[in-house]
Amino acid sequence: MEYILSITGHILKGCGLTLQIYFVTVIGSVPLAILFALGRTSGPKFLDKALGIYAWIFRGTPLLLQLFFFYYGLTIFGISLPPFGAAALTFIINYAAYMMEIFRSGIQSIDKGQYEAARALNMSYWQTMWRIILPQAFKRTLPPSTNEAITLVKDTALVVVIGMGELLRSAKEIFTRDFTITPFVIAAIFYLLLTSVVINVFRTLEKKLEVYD
Amino acid sequence: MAMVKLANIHKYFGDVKAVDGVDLEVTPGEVVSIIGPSGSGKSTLLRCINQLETVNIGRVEIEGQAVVEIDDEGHRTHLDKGKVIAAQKKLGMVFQHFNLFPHKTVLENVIEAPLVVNKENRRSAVARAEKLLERVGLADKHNAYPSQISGGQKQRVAIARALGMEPDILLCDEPTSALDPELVGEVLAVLRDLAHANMTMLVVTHEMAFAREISDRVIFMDQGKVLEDGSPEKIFKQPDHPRIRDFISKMI
Repeated sequence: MEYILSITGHILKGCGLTLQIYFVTVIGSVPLAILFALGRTSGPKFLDKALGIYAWIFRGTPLLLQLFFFYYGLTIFGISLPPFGAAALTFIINYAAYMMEIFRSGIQSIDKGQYEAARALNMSYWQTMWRIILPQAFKRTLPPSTNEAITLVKDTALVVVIGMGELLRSAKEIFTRDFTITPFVIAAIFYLLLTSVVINVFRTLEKKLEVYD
Repeated sequence: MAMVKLANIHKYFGDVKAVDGVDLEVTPGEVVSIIGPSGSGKSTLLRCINQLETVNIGRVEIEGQAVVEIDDEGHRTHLDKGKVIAAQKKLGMVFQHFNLFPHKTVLENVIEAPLVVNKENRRSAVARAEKLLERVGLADKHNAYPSQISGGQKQRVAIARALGMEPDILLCDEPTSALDPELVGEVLAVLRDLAHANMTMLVVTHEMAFAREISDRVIFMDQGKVLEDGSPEKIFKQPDHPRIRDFISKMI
């Protein structure tokens, strides 16, 4: 028992970094994705094209490769980011690409009549988007967003490749030292706890927004 | 001064001439019904007034202020944006499919534009909204969401929402066409009440009896043109065009 507690403490330290990356990614990528989605749906054509290419690249290549690129690859251009900076940047850009497409489909699913009603009431573009369209689109995009939010918990494990000590690496260190699978079981429990929290947050949100259908 | 003045309005959708050279003037307090077969351009014409459709050619004036002016060559006259917006605020619109904001309660639907567009303070917006909802007979539905009320109630909320911006002119685009027959009456009653209260109204409708009863003038449109423009008695009893007689006999 004492053994389990001691390795749990160690893994918990790694968990802190996992959470940091998680929240930085959410806080950075969601607003960016909303802005990009608006750019795709109501910006000029070239912007839509450019953002389409952005989505194609970042959804079409492995996150691992992107992580390598931002951490190692950029040094060739004389830019060297600290591990956390590189990880945050990669995750934000990658997740913003996915979330942009999710929000775009959400925005496009809103009935044209909503825009017309807002327009007839003389609401401006931003008033219409912010107060009428996005809240409804947000609700519709909750289920696919839940998937992304869960995937992100697990994707954070990828930062080990640029030498960061997150949850899974802490577990692996103990495994290497003691040669027992206990740390992996504990790591799995941690991941399950984290994803359960995520699922519950989204479920609560969905429930709360159910009032109007 | 005319409340609404349309001059030589043309609106094309590709090769289709939805509106083909329409002139129209509506005087203060006048209730004008626009009738005609589907596809005749009635709704499009109405939507050209508040710029939900951009005209290809023509001039739209609201209370003397031009809001759009495009000459035969397609040159657009530059208009003062502030004045255009001020003029457009005099228009309210009611849609066939209500287009209420589903994520907002009945009361929130009504106060939304006054709060956000006119920056009215919440207390006075709510007080006015409550009066309007009472006027349309929905004083007890403030906190309901649109999904929780009937079609007729939705349309009455939509009317209250339009009135919330204190328009001088109400545009109604087939306000009862999406309603179950038994719910049409309650919406027409509200519109009738508005007509009697001297609201200037332009109503695109298929409710012939209603058009005949409340209108000061009836306009018959066909293939994007105004075929006849006259008093309800004239249009419904002795129209100049046999097409109109045909149409009306089929509708009644």
